[in-house]
Amino acid sequence: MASFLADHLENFKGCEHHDRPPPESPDVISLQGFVDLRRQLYNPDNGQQLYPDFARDAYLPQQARSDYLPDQDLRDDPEWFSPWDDSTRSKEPFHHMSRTDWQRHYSTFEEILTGGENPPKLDVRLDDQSSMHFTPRPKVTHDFDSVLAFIPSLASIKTVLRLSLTSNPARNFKASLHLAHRGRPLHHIPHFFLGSFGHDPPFNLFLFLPNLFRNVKRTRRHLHNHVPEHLRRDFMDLCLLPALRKTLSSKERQSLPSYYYAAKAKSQASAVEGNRYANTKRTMQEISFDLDPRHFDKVWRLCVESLNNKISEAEAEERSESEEDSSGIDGANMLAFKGFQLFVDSKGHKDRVSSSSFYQLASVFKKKVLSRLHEIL
Amino acid sequence: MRFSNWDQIESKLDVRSIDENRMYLDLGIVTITPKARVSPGYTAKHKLCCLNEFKEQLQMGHLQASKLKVVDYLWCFLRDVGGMTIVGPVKSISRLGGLVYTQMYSQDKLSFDAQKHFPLGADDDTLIAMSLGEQYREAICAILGIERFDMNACRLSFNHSGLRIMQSIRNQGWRDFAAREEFRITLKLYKALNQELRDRGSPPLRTFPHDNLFFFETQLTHQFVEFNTLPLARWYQEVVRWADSKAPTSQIGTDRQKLAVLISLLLKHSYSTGFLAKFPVMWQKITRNEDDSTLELGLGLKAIIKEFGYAWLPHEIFNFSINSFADGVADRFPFPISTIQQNYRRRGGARKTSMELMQEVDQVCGRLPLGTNKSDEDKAFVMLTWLAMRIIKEYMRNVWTSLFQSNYEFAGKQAEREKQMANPRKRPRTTARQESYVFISFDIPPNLLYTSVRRKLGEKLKVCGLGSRGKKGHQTKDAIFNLLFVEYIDSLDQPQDQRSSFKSGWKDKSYLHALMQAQHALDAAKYKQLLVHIRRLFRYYCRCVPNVSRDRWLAPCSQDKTKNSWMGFDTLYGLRMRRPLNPHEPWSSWQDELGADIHRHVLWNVPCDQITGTDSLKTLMINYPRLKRWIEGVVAE
Repeated sequence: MASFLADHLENFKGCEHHDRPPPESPDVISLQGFVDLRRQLYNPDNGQQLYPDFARDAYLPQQARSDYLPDQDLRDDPEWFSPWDDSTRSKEPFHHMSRTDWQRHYSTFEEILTGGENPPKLDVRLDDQSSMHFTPRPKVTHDFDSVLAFIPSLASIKTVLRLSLTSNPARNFKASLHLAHRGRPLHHIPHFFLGSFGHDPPFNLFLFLPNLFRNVKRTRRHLHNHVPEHLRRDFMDLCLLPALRKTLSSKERQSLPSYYYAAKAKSQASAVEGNRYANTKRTMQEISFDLDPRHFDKVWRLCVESLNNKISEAEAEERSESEEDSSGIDGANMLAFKGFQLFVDSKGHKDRVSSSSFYQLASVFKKKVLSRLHEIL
Repeated sequence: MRFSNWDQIESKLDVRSIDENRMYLDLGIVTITPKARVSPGYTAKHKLCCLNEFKEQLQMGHLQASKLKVVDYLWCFLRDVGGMTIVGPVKSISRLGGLVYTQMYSQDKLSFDAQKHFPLGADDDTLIAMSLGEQYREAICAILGIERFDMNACRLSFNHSGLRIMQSIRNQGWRDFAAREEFRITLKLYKALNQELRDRGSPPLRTFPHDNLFFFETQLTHQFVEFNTLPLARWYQEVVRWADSKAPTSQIGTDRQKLAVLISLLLKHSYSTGFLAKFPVMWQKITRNEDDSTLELGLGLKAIIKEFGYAWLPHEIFNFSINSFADGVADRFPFPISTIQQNYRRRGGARKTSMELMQEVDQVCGRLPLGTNKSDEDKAFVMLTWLAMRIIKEYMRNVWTSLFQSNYEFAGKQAEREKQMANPRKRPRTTARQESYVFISFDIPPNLLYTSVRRKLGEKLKVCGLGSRGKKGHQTKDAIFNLLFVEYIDSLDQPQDQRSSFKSGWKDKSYLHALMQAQHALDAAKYKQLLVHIRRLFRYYCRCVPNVSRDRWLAPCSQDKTKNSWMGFDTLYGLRMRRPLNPHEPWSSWQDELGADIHRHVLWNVPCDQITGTDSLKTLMINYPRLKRWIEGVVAE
């Protein structure tokens, strides 16, 4: 595969020969010919009657109107705002022709859309500038757009981690990453946002729970990849927060919420407290706790220890079919965490992390992304 | 030789802790013209022939492996320009080698992008909503249990999408746009790729010319997009005007609804790249007839684009002078149900049934003969009776499905639940809220006769006497009929606040939507005739019906809230309620029910197409001898 990609990087692995385009004729037209034909039909006699509402000059800002000139002085333009912002305007029906007008114009529509009695063939090669006098020589650049990784431990991170104690479900993956974990599409596996680190670029940290995966019908809008709140609560109350309490000094843990619901109440505070209106949409605030990298190793070790203990207890309970449940929190829930996996992702570097030479790409990547990661991974 | 800077990268990355096969990088290759001082902008676009060749080579056909999943996108309906995505299944050569995902596209789409939200996007149902007639919109919202579509909001959405398109393409010819290739590869493959290139002596990469790309002047591509999109958008406006309640003519027939949906599909793909093959109604749809001949459905753009290089619309499909489909063509296009279905998969069965019913009502009402000769009158009589039968059938179906989906429990429901649980493959997904639901469809709804109901419930019926409901005037069968079939529809003409007297369960009944549709489509005299037919059928065939009130379409038994109650009617026409309907009464006293099996009615099983077809009544009677005897009997009567 490396050899294949190397070949492809040298020269695109496409067709070897391209035929020359035929000369333009009534039977074969270019994109320019197509535009000219339609422009003729959209002649001034028809005014803007063939335009949809949104394309009428009156409804467009000056820079998008048909009569706009690049050097035009915009200072004299009255302040434009979209007519669709105007509630009265948006309640009007679409403009449409009367029956008589339609009878006058339908043949134009027919000709535009069907290409007339003998529709011409469209050959885009006629417009290809590279086959003609192409003066600006294109440049090829290389970039890295995203970095994604399954990491074995929090200890792989070497910068401050903003731990999210209440986890915002909106951060969950909504589309395919084209990656799989244990044979399941990654975005179908239930997961929750555990925090973020770095600021340029920012990395997101997720905890995946493959054991919670179920074969259910999924749609684009319903991916069933959320982790129920009681499981997130259990994870925080039984594993992570105790580990943090054991590790951090008294000074460091002053702002650490004692348990999950305390963090949740804080996240709701700004939306609920002082709110005088019943129907106001309530937005949760993300409550995070900054964790210094020197603690990662110990915190994660303690967290995983208690997680494994809870999982073993839950398994033992399940085996013995014991119905004892003395604690307020259901220990059997922890079975969901069996086989958990940490995952980090960072996206959208392509516009900044690019290099005109592939061979320098790694150093640019190192300078612009990994230099941030120098303290991170 | 080691990759020169790898040591430094390793010092930053804790590579030892990360599996090289489990870390991924998106490697991009971008080809763009440099910004010139005085020159037009250029847009680089991929040649589809080259992308197809790349795909073939990546497949590595000589090796046995899973086939790649490839999607090719056409730009603005053009044959030769587009993009491609390639996903390697787990056992494909590319995936095994560390190449997970490949995408190649022109970055001019970024000018339309608002945080992954594109104008007229795939999830945007507003175009479809505006395409539907008001009755259909009401029915869909009621049956799906979703909020009513606000047409002002839909128009705003359409215009705002259009505004964004215009702002991206008008007077922006100075901009340059790149062609991008992106490969999601493992860290291991990236290192191997570097090594391979070093071993080759670091050769120059991608030198000019770039044969795999077209370079168009950006202004030309923008003008092409403009003249590709605007005619479709205006045509769409001209068609949906019929659905706009504020327009002078606010009725839209089924054919125009189909046309509007088709145009909206075209419009969504007109300004950028689109996966046309995903939509058989546009691309290619062929069905095989029983006699093994093939029938082409849909627009058939695949063949047109292949021949002409562009998707000219076929002449023979449309009749532009009446702004609709040509004669006999509309049947080749499905109703928008499948388009909506993609976005509202839940409760698919209920929606499908409802939409089929609405279309049947439309079809019967639209094709009702209006002539005054005897033949036309007879046919109109048969069609109206058929429609009445269809609505009664739907009422019976609603009774049974609602019972199984209600909170009321009965032995038959428990048996059905256990049967479904025993078959996990067919077991429906339920939520805690739906625990009492049992999803079951009734192609042939059981009779509403005491014996049939008892058999289906698997237990004795809880009966209601006249009680308090009697005082409200619903003690006769006609009063019940009025409540079930007339009053709700009449109440819709009243102001919104007075409609609320009908509450739980009333608005999602498909038989009521069908009746509303018929009221909308028929003139007053014909609608009255239809009600007479329905009343007659209800009187004779519905002898045992579930209790209803304005508060609940299925009312509970006054003594037991977990059971619904039933009303029985005696005498041949069952005009008066049987009082009391004694559950201990021997079944023999219900013998007069035996003649009231609606399944034996001559019109029960006649399909809609037969009744509305171009065949004359005579031909119909030849095909259905019982129908002949029935008509003769009715005429004699």
